[in-house]
Amino acid sequence: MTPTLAGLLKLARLIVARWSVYALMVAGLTLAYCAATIIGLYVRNELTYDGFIPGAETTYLVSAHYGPKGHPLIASDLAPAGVARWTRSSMPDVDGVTRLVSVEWLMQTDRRKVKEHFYWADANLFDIVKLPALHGELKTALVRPGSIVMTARMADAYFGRNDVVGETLLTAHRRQLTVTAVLRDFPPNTTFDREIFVSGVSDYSDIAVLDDNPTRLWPTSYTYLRVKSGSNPSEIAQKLGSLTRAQWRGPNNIPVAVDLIPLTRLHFQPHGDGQMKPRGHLNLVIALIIVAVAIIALASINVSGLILAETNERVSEMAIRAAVGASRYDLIAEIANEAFWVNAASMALALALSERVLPSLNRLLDLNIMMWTAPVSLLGVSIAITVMTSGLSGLYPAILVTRPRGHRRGALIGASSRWKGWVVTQIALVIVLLIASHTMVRQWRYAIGDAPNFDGNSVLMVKFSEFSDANARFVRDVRSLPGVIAAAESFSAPTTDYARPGLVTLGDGRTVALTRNSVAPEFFDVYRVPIVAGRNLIGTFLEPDTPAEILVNESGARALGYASPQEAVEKFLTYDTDMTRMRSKIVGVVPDLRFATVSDPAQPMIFDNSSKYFNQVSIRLDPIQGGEAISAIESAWDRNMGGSIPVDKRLFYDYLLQQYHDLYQQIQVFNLVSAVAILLSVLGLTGLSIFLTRHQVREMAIRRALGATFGDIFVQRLTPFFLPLLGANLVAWPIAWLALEFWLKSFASHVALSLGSFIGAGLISIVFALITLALRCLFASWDAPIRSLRHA
Amino acid sequence: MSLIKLVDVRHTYVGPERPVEALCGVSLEIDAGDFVAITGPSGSGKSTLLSIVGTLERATSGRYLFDGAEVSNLTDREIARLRALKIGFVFQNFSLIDHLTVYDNVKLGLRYRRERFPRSDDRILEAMDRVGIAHRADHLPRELSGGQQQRCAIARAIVGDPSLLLADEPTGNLDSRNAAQILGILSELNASGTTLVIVTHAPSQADRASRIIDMHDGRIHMSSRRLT
Repeated sequence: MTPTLAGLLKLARLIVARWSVYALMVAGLTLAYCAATIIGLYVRNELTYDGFIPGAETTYLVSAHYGPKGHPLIASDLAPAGVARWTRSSMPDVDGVTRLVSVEWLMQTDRRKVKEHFYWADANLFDIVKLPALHGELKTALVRPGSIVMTARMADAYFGRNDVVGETLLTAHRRQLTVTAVLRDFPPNTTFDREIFVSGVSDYSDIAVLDDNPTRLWPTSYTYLRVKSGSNPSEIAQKLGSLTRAQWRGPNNIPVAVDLIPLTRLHFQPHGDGQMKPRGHLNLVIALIIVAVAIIALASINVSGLILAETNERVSEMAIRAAVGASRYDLIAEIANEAFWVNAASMALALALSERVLPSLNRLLDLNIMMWTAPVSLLGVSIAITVMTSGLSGLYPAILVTRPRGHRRGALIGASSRWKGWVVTQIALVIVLLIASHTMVRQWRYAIGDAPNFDGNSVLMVKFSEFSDANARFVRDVRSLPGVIAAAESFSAPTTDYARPGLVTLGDGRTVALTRNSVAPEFFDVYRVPIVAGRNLIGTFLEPDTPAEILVNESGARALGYASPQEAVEKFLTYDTDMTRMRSKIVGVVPDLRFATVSDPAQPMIFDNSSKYFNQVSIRLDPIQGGEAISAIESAWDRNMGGSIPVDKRLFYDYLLQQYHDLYQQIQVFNLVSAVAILLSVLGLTGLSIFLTRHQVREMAIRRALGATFGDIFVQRLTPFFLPLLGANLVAWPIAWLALEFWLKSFASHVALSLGSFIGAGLISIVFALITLALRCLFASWDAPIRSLRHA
Repeated sequence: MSLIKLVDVRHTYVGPERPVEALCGVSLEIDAGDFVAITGPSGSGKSTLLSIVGTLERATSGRYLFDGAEVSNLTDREIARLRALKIGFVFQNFSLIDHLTVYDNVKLGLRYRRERFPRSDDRILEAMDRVGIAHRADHLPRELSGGQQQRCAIARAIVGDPSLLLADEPTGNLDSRNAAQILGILSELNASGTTLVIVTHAPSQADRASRIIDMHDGRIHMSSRRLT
């Protein structure tokens, strides 16, 4: 060791010796408060969805439940358009009902031209969903055809300012829309996924088309209603269910039940078909609250132990204070006061740190959590927590250290054991979180890797325009572009945007629901799906409605009662759609493909080759020439669409990532929380080590005097931690197993728990703990002041 | 040949304001079998001298030879081994480990020698017998009187049969009857061949030594050998 290095090490030891305890206290508490603050903000964000809408708690979304006999019901956020009409005419208990229908159309001004996502809206939308206005009169804003309402952010995007009432923009077919009101920007925690509302009164709107064609009864509309005061929403939901069934005209897909969900609770409902945004997970919120409380509690206990170590060092100071007249109460107040200021300083640092960390965290998790949206409540809660944790962390050591001399020693030994227990608890928490993080990552990898059971890498999906001839020319051009391996049209597949059921009644009376997909035969080449029995479809057809040939997937074949895929080939299948009965020949069987997320069971599927509803093309790109190919595809699009329609494209992988965005967020949250827990446990272990070092300084000195080497002392210090570390694993493993089994069961398809996750987490925690303790020993053990033997 | 030889040994502590010179050029030799008493007022450096002789601390400068070997050239590990094999300590505050029984405290005196002692139990019992503490073998230190605790400490110090026994004010915390008994035990050990160095304030105890070293301000003020 060079003299300079030795000097630096000595300096470091001096600093650690002088400031380590207070630095550890403040560092641990700051970290814990910061984590708890961010978790608190996230939880508040989750629990206040749509809270910015006045009366959101009494505004209900009509959720329709469908399902063939004997099958689980499927909840949908969409209801048939007729539900609103029937409600208006027959439900006096309802104060008002309104609808939104999602659509994507070209919109343009001088500043912006884009295929815009917006809602057609009934004229009374803002009477029911009371979105706050910035400019204009919302009550009449959607009454006239061709009127449009948008948020300030969208107004700014289209016009460069937000006071734009009276301004116009153009849509497809050169239709002109006039801005009649501007809404305040929506906060990120809203269930609405679009910020533009166009009057459904216009005769070309989807709402008008649906009202003009009352037989179109499939779920199309987000339907919101308000109930009259004194009315019971459950009774209204029941009546609405009966009314819907009575009004239904088709043979299939009758909504079995109707539910009314308050806007403020919609975010935590189970997955619903057609949901605007990914749902929240109440279990995750509860888990995070528990983790936040645990983090603060454990940090407080760490600090409590450190204060104990520090004040125990000052026993003689306490004795002097007592000798000059301080009562026990005075001494307790003295220590509690110190604890308060340590906590207060840590909280101030934590708030500052949270403010610095939040923007990065928002970027990482794709969130938009604001720090100071409710400053009074944030500060109030922070102060309350500071006072509470000051009490928790300060009073216990104060009472202990100020006990009469005869009682103190036993109490301190007890405190050391209790502290060791809490450190074990912390390590157990770390192990649980590590196992949880790893399992979540494995589930996520499974979801975006193996679960779809087809190869979507390097596949670009391009949505069609409304001009079918131009679309066909575009696909033809794309197929000849360099860097394009294959291309295939489909109706939404492999997304779940427009799921269509086909119902088969089996010989025993049971009904089997299969999801119908319309694809070009090349679809299976593009996604590299083998045909496991029979052959592929041949070509596509536009008319008639009934496909002559179909493929089924393996689970479809099984559900239909065939013992093997081969057995299903060349059999005829009769199935009902919404309004029609179809009969087609099964010409081949494909593997089970998953278009839905792993939250939903893998569906038995039918694939036909009807081109009637093709709305997108999937293009497999050569991975090497992918970038150039995408530029060429964009040029081909502009060439075929006359340059007037922006291309709407996305990689399948990006689509998949978006589908699992909530799972990704959960993983990141757990990773961060695990990191915080690891840091806290490191601090806790260091604190315990300091406490024990101070407590055992004499013992170590005695051992040194008797000839113990550095290695002897090192091993002596580490040995007492081995069993507790093993104990932490014994505690953590069953807890993690139970919690993660519960979590995994929330997915219809999931990975199995891996022993590797458990062993890995255990080893990581043990290695971390031992490194922490070893480093602490390096700083402390050999410096055990042997002179203490003279005077202790 | 001398068992202990110090040549111009200096030792400086880092004080809060300035360095404190605890030993200022101490030179001395102690022969095997000697009974040396180090006396002097508080702060005169006698305990520091004992710590350096006992290798608990390294001198800032100067030479220290133990049984002819240069101690200042030894590594920490070698010094620890030297302490384990050759040196026994007795402290004023007994320095027993609270959670170990008398037996286990005495056993600790063998642990760091890293040798397999045949019949180590017998050695421990013999050491306890020599100081009259065997009947309290299963007791914890807090269950013993001051005199008994110091006997236990002496048993621990001698169980490994060290060639040098260092005692830092071994009777400082004891009443006169116990002090006399402890000093008697130490004298017997010296009589049986163990080199004994004690630090003491008490002239009556120093008088029992074959040699008295009186220290003032970190220097040997006077070194006198008692004529027998």
